[in-house]
Amino acid sequence: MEPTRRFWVIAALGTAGAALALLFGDVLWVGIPLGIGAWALVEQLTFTNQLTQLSRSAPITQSLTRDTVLVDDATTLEIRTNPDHEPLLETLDATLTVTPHPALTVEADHEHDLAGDTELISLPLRISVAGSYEISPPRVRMSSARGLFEESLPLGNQCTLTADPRVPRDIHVGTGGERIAVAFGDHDANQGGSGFDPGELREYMPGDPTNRIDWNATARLGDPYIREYEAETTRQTQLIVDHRAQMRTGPDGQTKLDYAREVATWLTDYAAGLDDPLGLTLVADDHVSGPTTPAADAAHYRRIRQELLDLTTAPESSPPPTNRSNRSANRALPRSSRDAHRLAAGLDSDDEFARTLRSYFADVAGYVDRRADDPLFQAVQTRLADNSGDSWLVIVTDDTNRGELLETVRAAATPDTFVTVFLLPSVLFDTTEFRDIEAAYGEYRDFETFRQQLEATKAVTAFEVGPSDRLEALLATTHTQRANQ
Amino acid sequence: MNPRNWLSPQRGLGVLALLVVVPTLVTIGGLPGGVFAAAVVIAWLTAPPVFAFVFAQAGLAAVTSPPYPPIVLVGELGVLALAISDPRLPLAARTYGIAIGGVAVLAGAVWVTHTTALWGAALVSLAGTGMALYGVHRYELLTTGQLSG
Repeated sequence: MEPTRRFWVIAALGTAGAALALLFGDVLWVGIPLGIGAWALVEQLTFTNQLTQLSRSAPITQSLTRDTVLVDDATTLEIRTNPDHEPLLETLDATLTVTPHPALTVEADHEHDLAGDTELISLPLRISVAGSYEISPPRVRMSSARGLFEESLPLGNQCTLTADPRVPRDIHVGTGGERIAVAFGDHDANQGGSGFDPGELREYMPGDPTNRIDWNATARLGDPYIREYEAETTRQTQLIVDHRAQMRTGPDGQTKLDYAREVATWLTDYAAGLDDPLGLTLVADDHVSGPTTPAADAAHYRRIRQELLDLTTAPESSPPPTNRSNRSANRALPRSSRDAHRLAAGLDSDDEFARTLRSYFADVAGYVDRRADDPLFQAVQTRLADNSGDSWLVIVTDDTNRGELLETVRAAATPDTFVTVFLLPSVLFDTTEFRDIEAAYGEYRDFETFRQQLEATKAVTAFEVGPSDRLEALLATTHTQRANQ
Repeated sequence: MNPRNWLSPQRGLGVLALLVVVPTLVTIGGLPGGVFAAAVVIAWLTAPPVFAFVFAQAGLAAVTSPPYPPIVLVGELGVLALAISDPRLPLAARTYGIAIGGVAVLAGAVWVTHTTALWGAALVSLAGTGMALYGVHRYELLTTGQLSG
């Protein structure tokens, strides 16, 4: 409690009374400081009681309309006064002051007079730095009935605002809604050789170098034995990242491309850890860019990493089709050239039906030409043409152009080339909430069927990549609804 | 002034106090007492009651001298009632009890002290009031949770 200027004026008056007592030699003048003291004491005790009452109850509550936001997003701090305490706050001429954290920008006055009829104070907040911030209870400055004393107390509750950076936070990589713990391990050559990890023993054959004889095993078993070692090898990795217009779908900072970038960056680090030669190809709407010849030096990995970090969605050459209409279109696309050949070969009878259909399957080259215009198909074919020996092809894309992706993968998967697809399901990136949960779940199942279709191809592995929270919400809501039914 | 305050018990106490103080001043002081009484009434009507109290106490001190007639004691009771009859301060028995009790103790100490040394009485009144106010301040810090431990 702080005395005000008015208090000191009154105190001076009381002191003057005491001085006059000494001046006139009359004790009755001492009554002035005593009476003023009694009055001040009543005011102070009353004020103390009022402050105690306020500090022990909850006269003010503050809350955030959203307590978790992305950096630079706005939220609102709502401060409400309890109607039961309004008369008292009005009597005390209360003024509320909000002192936010320096990282928070309050887009309104920091001071509010509680003496009016304001039951709700709304303060728009904006936060520029990611982190968790405690918002202290608002301080309320009050003065006593006659203004002799003032006090400033924190009244209300504390609340916490969390600002997340505009990057994907919880990335789900898995299959069928299940997260995979470790997708890959060190790769071996699936053949014996002269590596470092001990492999199996085999009997000595004429022609084997004598320095490979395992003398311990030979002594133990009585015949000469050779110790085989697991040969280790580096594997050329081709990373193909789709950054076409459809990859911009999703909330700001958590678009498909942001997730694709995270996965691609992680793959770059993974390849760097294994010293695998790594190449990067970026697929835009109308062209393929940045093909880098695979290399395994630190500067090369750094360059690829930087290129990925700088990656933005390619300018839209034409409006991207909507997911739903595009998926329908994809279902209508012809199947692979291999399928076409097989179907044409099946039309071996000479009836009218077969003759009619045979003409539709005759020109399979035209089908291949049409696929060759697809940038992803083009990118993969170019990369594969440059490859020699075993290679690992990693495609990071979404499920918008399913026909194209399926054909690309089927064309790419060969005994020498392992293909891994990191696929972003469009249903997990819709910016709206799941209004029609059944429809959303249907779309997800449709996606999963497509992913399994990809995996059915030999030497192809497909993973789903997306925001973990949305996938969990989708699956949990669906399970709950079905359980209720 | 809020018309509601005119009907408050504190105002009633104030009016009662004036009915005691004004005749006392006029009776003891004659014309000078009447001037003080007029000042008391004007102050009471226009300013916080504490100013009316200051005029009343100053009037009593000015128009009397020791040995004090018994009527002064009646006047003093009226003056004290004026001091605490503030309509803005809610009438709470505990609050007023503590304040009046504290001041009564102080007044006793002042009365005892003044026979030996008047300056001692003045000092007791100022120091006692200051200590009482500081004590309440510390109590307020405690009850509002501003003191740790």
